[in-house]
Amino acid sequence: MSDIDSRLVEECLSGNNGAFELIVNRYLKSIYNFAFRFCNSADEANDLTQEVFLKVWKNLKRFNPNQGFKTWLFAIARNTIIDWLRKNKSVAFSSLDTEEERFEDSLVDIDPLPDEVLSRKEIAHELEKALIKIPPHYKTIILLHDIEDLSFEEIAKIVGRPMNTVKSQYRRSLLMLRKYLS
Amino acid sequence: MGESYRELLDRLARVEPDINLQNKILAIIQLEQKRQVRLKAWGFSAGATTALGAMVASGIYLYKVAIQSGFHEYLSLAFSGDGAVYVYWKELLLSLVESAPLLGIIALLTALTFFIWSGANAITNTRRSTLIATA
Repeated sequence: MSDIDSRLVEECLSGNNGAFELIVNRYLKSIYNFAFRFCNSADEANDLTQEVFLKVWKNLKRFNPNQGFKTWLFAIARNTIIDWLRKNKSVAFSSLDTEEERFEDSLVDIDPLPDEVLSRKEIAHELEKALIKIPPHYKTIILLHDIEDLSFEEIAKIVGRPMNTVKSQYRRSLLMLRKYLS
Repeated sequence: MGESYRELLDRLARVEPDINLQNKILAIIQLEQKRQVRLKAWGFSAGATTALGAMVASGIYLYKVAIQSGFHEYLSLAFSGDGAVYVYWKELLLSLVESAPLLGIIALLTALTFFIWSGANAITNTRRSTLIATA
């Protein structure tokens, strides 16, 4: 956990409400963007972000300082989003959790994206469309790894799966992304 | 692995949240805090009232048992200033211990402790509730 996060959590627990305001300020955009990628609606992302921070505030006493704060925060965000997806969409998020890994998937080498793809003018828009098509579990891994810069070890803690499984799923998610962009 | 994908994902536009979102979150948390403090204040007040009732009941019980067991007489004798008390103080002390209504004393002290603890918490939470309401 970063020194700043650790100090802010300690201050929150000692009754300093201003410290929680700083935590919200530090992670608001990240959580909002993470939520937005799943619901694609500003209103829903607002509600989800509010719910995440309320859960964080309520459970701050249960936070284990040995666990990274960002990891803990995104685990709460992920669970909140899963609940939302289960309630609002008929996405079988749990079925993805129990999906068996195919051995051959972990052997596939991922070719770099062709320059042509990266140089497309509308690539940001195409990427957003492609992300919508990617199943939530895989999208979680891509977003946490490539947008939030979390390590595979941290992502494994968040999704509650072994690190090798997460790495393999990351490869599969990149393959999906490539397929949808080509 | 996947450097070009990272480069690609960097191009994903960051969505800006509503400018009031942070204030909304903090307001919701303050409301929740207020709700929790009020709930605690009510809970501890109810606890203190129950403990007060228990104190009265255990006090009456203690009084009755103290009279029945003769503890009351031994205690009166101890404070009477009679010279015999000083001579036979060991016997008097033994009689006091033997006739002491232990159950009643324990019940009264337990009720008293619970009353002080819940009363203090009720006052603290009521104060906090007032502070949050005025903040």
